Amino acid sequence: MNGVLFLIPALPFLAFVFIVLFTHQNRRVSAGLTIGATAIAWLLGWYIAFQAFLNPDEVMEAPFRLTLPWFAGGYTVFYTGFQVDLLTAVMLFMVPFLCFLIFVYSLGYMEKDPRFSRFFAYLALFATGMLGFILADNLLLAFVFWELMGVCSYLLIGFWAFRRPEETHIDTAQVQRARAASLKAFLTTRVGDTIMLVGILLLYALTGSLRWDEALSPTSLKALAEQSTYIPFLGEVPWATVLAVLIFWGAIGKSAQFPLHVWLPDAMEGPTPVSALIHAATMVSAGVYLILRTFPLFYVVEEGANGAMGFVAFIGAFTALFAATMGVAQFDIKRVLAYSTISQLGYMFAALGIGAYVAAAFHLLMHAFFKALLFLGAGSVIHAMEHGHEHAHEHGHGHRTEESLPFNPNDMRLMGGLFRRMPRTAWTFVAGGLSLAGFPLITAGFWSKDEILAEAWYTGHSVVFWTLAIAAFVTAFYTGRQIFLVFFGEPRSAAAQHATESPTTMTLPLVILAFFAVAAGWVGIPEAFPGLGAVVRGWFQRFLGVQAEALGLHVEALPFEPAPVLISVAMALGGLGASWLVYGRRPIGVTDPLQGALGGLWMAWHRKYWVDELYQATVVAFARWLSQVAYRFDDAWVIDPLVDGVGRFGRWLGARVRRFIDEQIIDRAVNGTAWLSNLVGEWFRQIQTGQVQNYLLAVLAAVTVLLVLGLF
Amino acid sequence: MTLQDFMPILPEMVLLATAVAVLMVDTFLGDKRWLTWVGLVGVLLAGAATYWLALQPPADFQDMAASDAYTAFFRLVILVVTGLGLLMAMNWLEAHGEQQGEYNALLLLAAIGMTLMAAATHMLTLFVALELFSLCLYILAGFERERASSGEAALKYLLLGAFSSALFLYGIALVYAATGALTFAGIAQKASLSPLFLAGVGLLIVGFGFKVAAVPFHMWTPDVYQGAPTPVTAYMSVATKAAAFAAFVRLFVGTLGVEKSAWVPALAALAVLTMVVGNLAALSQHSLKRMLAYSSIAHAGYVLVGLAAANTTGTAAVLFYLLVYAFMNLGAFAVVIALERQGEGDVTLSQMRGLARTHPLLAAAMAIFMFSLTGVPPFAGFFGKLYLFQAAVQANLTWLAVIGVISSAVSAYYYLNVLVQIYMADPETPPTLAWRPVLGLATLVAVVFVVGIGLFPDFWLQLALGGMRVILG
Repeated sequence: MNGVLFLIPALPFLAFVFIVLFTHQNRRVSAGLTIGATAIAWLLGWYIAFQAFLNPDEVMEAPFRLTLPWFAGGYTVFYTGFQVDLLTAVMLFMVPFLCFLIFVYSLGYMEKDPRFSRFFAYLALFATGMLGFILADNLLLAFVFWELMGVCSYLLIGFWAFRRPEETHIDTAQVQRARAASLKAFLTTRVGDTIMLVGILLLYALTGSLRWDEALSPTSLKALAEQSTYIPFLGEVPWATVLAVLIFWGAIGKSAQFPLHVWLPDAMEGPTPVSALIHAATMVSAGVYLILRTFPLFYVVEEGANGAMGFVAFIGAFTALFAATMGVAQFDIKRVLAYSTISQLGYMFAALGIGAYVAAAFHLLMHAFFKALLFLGAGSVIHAMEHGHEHAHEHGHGHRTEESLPFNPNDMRLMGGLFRRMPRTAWTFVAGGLSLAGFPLITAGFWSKDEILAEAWYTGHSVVFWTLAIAAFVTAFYTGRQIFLVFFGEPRSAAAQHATESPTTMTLPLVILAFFAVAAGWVGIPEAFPGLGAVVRGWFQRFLGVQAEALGLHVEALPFEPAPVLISVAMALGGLGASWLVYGRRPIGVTDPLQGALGGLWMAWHRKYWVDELYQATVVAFARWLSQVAYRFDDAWVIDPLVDGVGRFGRWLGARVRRFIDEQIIDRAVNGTAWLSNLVGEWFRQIQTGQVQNYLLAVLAAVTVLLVLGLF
Repeated sequence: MTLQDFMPILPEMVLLATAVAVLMVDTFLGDKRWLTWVGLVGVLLAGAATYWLALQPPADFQDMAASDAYTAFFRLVILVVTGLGLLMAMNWLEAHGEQQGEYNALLLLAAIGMTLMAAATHMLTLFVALELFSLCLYILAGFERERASSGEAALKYLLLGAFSSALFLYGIALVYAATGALTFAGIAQKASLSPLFLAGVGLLIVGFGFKVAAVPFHMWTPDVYQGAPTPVTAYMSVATKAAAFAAFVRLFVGTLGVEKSAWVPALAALAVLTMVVGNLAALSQHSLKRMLAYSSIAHAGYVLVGLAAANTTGTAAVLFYLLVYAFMNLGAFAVVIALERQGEGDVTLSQMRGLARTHPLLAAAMAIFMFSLTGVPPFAGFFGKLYLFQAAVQANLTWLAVIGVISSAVSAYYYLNVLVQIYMADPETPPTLAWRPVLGLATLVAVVFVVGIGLFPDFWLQLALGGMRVILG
C-alpha cells in the first residue's frame, strides 16, 4: 500500500519522459499518455484519500509512509520519502482530480496549437511537481518539487514566447509579452525562494533534520522557541520566529502576496488551462500548503513575543484588500481573476495568521474548485470570442461603429450578451462567480469565507475581520461586474455576436467543477450553524481538527454568532447589488462608469497602484545601474585602463629596451629559450618516449627508491 | 573432491564453460553476432550463480579462494563490465572484420582471472589469476591486426607486464621467505616488520601499482590505451583496475592491516603522485583516448586515497568508487567507439566539435559521463569522491583529501573542455558515426546507472559496506 505512494508523482513523470523521447510527433498519443497517467494518479490518490477520510484517527496515528535512505552525508544518512496524513489527503483529493479535469479541457482548448505535444509534456511535468510536493515528507524534497513547479510555470507562461512562421494566431506583441511575463514570474518568485532556502538551511543546521515529523517534533520546536538569536534593530528573536518568517517569504513569492504579487497578473499570458491549474488552483496555493505544513513553527512561540503570526496575518489581510481593489479596474477577463486569486490567497494567509488552521485549509480547497472553474469558464469565453472573430471576418460582417477598441479576445469591453450564445459556460461561470462572491448558504465560497470571518470575529482580531469584510464587499462587486460585462447586456462587438458554445471536452469539466464549486462547501457547514449545522455537523472541521490537534493546536467548534454571518451576507449581497446598479442596469460603453465617479482612485486601481513602475524605477533600475557600474568598472574606469596602461607602459619600455638590449641580449635569450625548451622537452620525452626500455628503467628506479625509503 | 567442493567457484566455472562454448559455436555458426549473445547469456548465468552464492554462508575453495560478500561485490562489478564489454565490442568487431569468437572467448577468460583476483586468499591463486587475465589482455590489445599501433601497444604491454609480474612474483617469494606462508591467513599470523618482509611488501605494491596504473608505474598506460582497440581499452581501463584493487584491498587492508604503519605512507605518497601527475598530464592531450588514459591514472589515485585511509569507510568507498567508475568510464569509451573513424583507432578533441548539434542524445550521454567523472552532483561520481575523501579525513589524512580535491578541481578543466567542444563549438566536418543499436544499449545502461547510483547512492554503499565487513571482520 505505502509502496504505491511514489507511483502518484512517478506516473506523470514517466509520461513526460515518454513524450519527450518518443511520442512528441504524435499529438494523440502524447495527450493520451499525460491524461492516462494523471487518471491513474487520480484514482490512486482518491483511493488513499478516502481511506484517510473514513479512518482519520488511524491515519493520523500511522500516516501512510514510504521512506528511503537517500545518501550518506557527513556522519548522518539523509532519508527521503513520501507520506500521507490528513492534510495531504485533503490535497490529494483536490490536486490530481483538478489536474485530470483541466488536462481534458486542454484537449479542446489547445486543439489547434502546433505544439500540442510539448504542452502536454509540460503539463505532465507540472503534475509531477505538484503531486511530489504535497506528498514529500521532508522540506528538502518538497523544495525540489517546489522548484520543479517553478520551472514548469516559467515554461508554460512563456509557452507562446516564440513562434514559428506558420503560427499566425500569435502576434509579435504577444510573443514579447509572454517572454517578459515568464521571466518576471521566474525572477520574482526566485526572490522568495532564495530567502526560503536560507530558512531551510538554518532549520537543518539547528535541528539536524528536515522531515516534517522530526524537524517539527515537540522537542525540537521547544528548543527552537527557547533559543533565540540577536538581530539588529529587533533584539533577541526566537529561532522559531526567524525560521517561520524566512520560510514564509517562499510562500509570499509562490503565492503572489504583497510585495511579490506583481508576477501573477502578467502570468496570464500563458494558455488559459495553465492559468486555471497552476496560477489559480494548485501551484500558487502551494505556498499556503507549505505554511500549513510548517505551521507549528509559527505557532510555537507565545503570542505577543511572536512576530511571525502577526506578520502572516498582516501580509494576508493587506493583500486580500489590496488585490481586490485592483481587480475592480481591470478589463482583461483573466486579469480580474488573477487579482481575485491573489486576494483570495491573502484570505488564506490572514486565516493562518490568526491561527485558523482548519479554516485556511478549507478555503484553500474551496477556492481551488471555484477559481479553476472561473478560469476554465473564462477560457471558454476567450475561445468563443476568437472563433466569433474569425467567423465575423469570414462572413464579412463589418465592424460596428462604436467598436473603437482593437480586437482582443480577453477584453471584457468587447463582450456582453454571451449568456444566450453559450449557456453552459454562462451558467457554470455564474455558479463559480457566486461562490467567489460568497453568495449565502448555497455556495462553497460562502461557507469557507464565513469560517475565516467567524474565526477572526471570535478570536477578537477586529482589524483583520474588518479588512477581510471590506475585501469581501469588493470581491462581490468585481465578480458581479465581470458577470454583467461578459454575459449580460447587448453584444459590444462582432466577435461577441458570433460567439458559439465551446466543445464538450471543454464544457464537461465546467459542469463537473460547477457541482464542486457549489456543493463541496457543504462538508464544512459549522456544527453550531442553525438548522443546516445539525445535518453536517462540521465534518471538515472535525476531520482536519484531528490533524491540528496532533500538531498541538487548540481547536474548538466555534459557537454560532449572528453578527459575523450577517455582516458577511450583507457584504456579499451588497457587493453584487452595487455591481448590478453600476453595470447591469443600463448598457455601458467603452469607458467604465466608475472611472468618472472615482477618478484618481480608479486610475490607481487600474494602474495597479503603480507598483510595477515603482519596482521598475527602484529594483530593476538598481540592477541595471549595478550592471552598468560593473561594466564600466571593467571597460572604462579601472580594469581596461589598467590593462591598457600596462600595455602602453610595456610598449614604451619595449621601445626603450629594444634599442639597448635587442642586439646584445634578445638574440641570445631567444637562442637560450630554444635551448631550454629543447632540454625540457627532451627530458619529458625521455620519460614518455614510447620506448619500453626507458619505461623499465623508470620503474626500476622507482622500485629502488621505494625499497630504500621503506627499509631505512 | 566432490562436486560440492567446486561450488564456491561456480561463477568462474560458468564463465569457463561459456568461453569454451563460444569457441565451439564459432566453428559452425554463420552469423557471428550470436556469439555475443551466447557470451552474454553466460555472463548472466554467472551473475545468477553469484547471487545464489551470496545467499549461501561464506565458503572457501581449498584455502585458495573465498566466496563471500566481498568476492560477490567484485564478481558483480566485473560481470557487469564484461557484459557491457561484450555489447560494446559487437558492432565494432563486425565493422572491423575481426574474429568475434576469439575476442569474446578471450574477454570471458580475462573475466575469470579478474573474479579470481577478488576471490583469491592464497598467493599462488593470486598470481595465476593475475597472469590469466593479463595474458588475455596482451592478446586483446593487439587484436586489430591491420593497425600497426595496435600491435605496438600489445608488445609494450607484454614486456612491461612481464617485468612487473616478475617483480610481483619476487615479492611473493620474499614474503614467503619471511613468513613461511602462502595463504593470506598464514601470512597475517606470521607477519613481522623484518627487512625481508618489508622488501616483499614493497615489491607487491609495485606489482599492484603497475596493474592499477599508479604513478610512477603508469608509463605504459597512455601508449597502450591509445594503441589498443577502443573496446579493449574500455574494458581494460575499468576491469583491470577493479580486479587489481580487489586483490590489493584484500591483501593489504585485510591481511596486512595490523602492519599498516609500514605501507600507509608509501600508498599515500603513491596516491599524491598519481593524482597530481595524472590530472596535469591529461590537461594537454588532444587525443580523447590518451586523455581518458591519463584520467584513468588520476582516478586510480583517488582510489589509492581510500586505500591509504585503511579504515572501514575508506575501503567501502574504494568498492563503491570502482563500481561507479566502471559505469562512467565505460560510458565515455562507448561514446569514443561511436565516434571512431574506420582504421584510425582514435578520436581527437576537435572531432567532438558541435556534436550536440548533430547527435544530441549522444552528446547528452557524454555530458553525463564527463560531469560524473568530474564529480558533479547528482551523478554517481560525486558520491564516489565524497566517500573517498571523507574516509581520508576520518583517518587523519586531511592533507591527502585536500590534495585530492584540488587535483580533481584541475580535472574539471579537461573534462569540461570536452563539453565545450560538444556544445559550444561549430562542427568542422560532420562527425561520422559508427552508431549502432547494441552500442546504444550499452551506453544507455551506463547512463542509467550513473544517474541511478547518483540518486540513490545508499543502497550501493550498503552493498560495499557488506563486502567490507568480511575483510575487516
